[in-house]
Amino acid sequence: MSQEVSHGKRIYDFFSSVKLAVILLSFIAISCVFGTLIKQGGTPEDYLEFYSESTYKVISFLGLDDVFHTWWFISLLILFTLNLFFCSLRRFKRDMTSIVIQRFPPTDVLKKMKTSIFLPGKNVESVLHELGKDHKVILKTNEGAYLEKGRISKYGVHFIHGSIIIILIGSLIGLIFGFRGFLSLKRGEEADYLVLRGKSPKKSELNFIVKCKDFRIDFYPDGTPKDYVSDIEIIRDGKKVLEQKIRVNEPIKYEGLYFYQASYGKEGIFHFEVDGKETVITEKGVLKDGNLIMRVIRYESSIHNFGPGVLLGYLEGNKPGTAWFLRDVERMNTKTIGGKTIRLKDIKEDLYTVLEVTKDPGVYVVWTGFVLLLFGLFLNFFTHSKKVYVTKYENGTIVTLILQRLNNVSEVEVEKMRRRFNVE
Amino acid sequence: MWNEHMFLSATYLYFLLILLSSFIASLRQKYLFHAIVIIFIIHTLALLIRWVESYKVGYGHAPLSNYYESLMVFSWCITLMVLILRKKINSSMVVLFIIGGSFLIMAYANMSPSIDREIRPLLPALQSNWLYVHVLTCFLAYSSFFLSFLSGILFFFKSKGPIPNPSVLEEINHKSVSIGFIFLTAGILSGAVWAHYAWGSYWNWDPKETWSLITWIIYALYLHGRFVKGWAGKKMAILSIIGFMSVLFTYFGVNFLLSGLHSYAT
Repeated sequence: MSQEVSHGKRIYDFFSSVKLAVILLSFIAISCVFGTLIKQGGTPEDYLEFYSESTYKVISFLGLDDVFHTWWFISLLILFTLNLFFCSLRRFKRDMTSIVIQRFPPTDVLKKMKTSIFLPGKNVESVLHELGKDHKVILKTNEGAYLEKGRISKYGVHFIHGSIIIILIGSLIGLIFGFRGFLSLKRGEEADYLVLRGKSPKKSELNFIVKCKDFRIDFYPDGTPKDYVSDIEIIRDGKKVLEQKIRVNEPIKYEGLYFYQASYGKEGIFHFEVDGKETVITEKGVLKDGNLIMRVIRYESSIHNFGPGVLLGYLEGNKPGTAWFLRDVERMNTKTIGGKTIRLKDIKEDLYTVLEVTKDPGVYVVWTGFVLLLFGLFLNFFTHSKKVYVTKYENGTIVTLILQRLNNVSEVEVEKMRRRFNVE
Repeated sequence: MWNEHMFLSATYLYFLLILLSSFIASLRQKYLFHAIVIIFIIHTLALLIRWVESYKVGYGHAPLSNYYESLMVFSWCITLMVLILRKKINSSMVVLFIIGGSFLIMAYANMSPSIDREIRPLLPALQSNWLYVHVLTCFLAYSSFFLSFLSGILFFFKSKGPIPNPSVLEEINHKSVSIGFIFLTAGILSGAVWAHYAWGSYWNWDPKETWSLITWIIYALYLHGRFVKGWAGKKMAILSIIGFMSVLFTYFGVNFLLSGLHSYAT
């Protein structure tokens, strides 16, 4: 039995040691260095350009090409969370038990201290009455009393550590229950799904419709972009439930989902003449004319300074083929395929907006952690706890201040105390 | 543009102050603080004038948006830190070293031919009120860490002549790390909240974010070394020097060597 206890205690001691915290933090920091110096989330070709094949094998085996999502990095974070929890628990227990009062110091020692004030003609009771307004009387004896103020300062460190645990838990909630996806919409287009990000992008159905009414880019006079604006409508059961503009830095929120202005793109719209008959084909569209089927394979807005061009793939009966059309080159904008004269008349570009769509139920947990962390830092570094001894001496009372850490604060505090009791 | 003349004047004044106080004892002993206040006011005015002038060219944003402006704010924060901590520092020698830092940054930013000093428009990603909180807290952190770095360096020189004794340097070192740590935390957290509204996630493992975390961990180890292990002296001085190396990499290294979401800073 006793062996079992000591075994359990040893594990507890290990998990609650500052040593483990230092080791874990160092490993996390070193992993972070790798995660920034080595390109993250690249293709094998990206790495083979810089590293030898054997180095790349090591990189991909250890997951150094995606450090922050490897099982071992997430394990480090979880282990650190546990370590921090047990460390704090141990420290908290110690702090709670250490509030046992020390022995009352001898009067002649208190009398000599620099932070002592002698109040002639005042008795202990009246001083305690005054100080009792904002100090807590911890101990009272015949000779005097011991008071404390601002004990909360001692809890600053617990707020800091607790808040970091809360932030890490919040991020874990986001990791498990949240997702990131995107949506690209042309003007007037709508969608009832989004594409989830990841190694193999998946479609995810939405139970409402997102419609892009308009998308525009504003520019500064020098040509740099000033504003990206998507005019978005959310339609549910055939009814419009929300209409709002999305800008960079101004996402919209609907049903726990955030929609961000993330990016945009240009899509070509191609105006062809097939045997003199005008027809339009889009980048994803297919054109059928008799036994001829055509679709766009590639679109370049500029080919070797010859202007925009489009590569068409076609199926003439069962015979496949491809052909480049250049809009601005006379010889290259008309071709005969399957006995039909096909002429590229014009290419227009249409903008489409790319919206980032995210869900993160842990975000409010993280925000709570942020507020507590700043509060904890404030308590720890900007407030201080004060101990006061009030002692009977001759025909008056001695008030002694004991301050921790901040030595230059003590003069100010003593001066305040003097003024409080009207002594020079 | 007036702001550039003002910044250049401030640069010369920083230099003049350092030069004159090295020779004139009464300036160094009695009027150093007053002189720094005057230069600081000029430096502040230069920033404000640049802000006003950005409206004249039709952009209208605080001078917090590109590399040049960040350097101007960085040196401004260093001087501000000297003024805030003047009682704590209590050594004209250390003050002059720190002001020397402000001067070097100003000189580099205002004289180097490779730096674009034009007022540029603000990209959509930067158009947010979080810009003010985030940039100011980060640079206040960087400048406090600069103070701790200098006191850490001076710690290794035997306290002869004007170099204050080690306990004073330790006190400056510790105080500035504490202040820097609070500002760095505030800077990272405000950045995270901003990232949530601008990029869709409060943490993206962007190189600058990641390096700010590395820096934060180093200074967290510093504080625990002091509070838990009771480390002092040399160990603390070395840790504060390592910490500042990480700050430098977060600020410059990431901008010039790594690409990421923060790349508009170059």
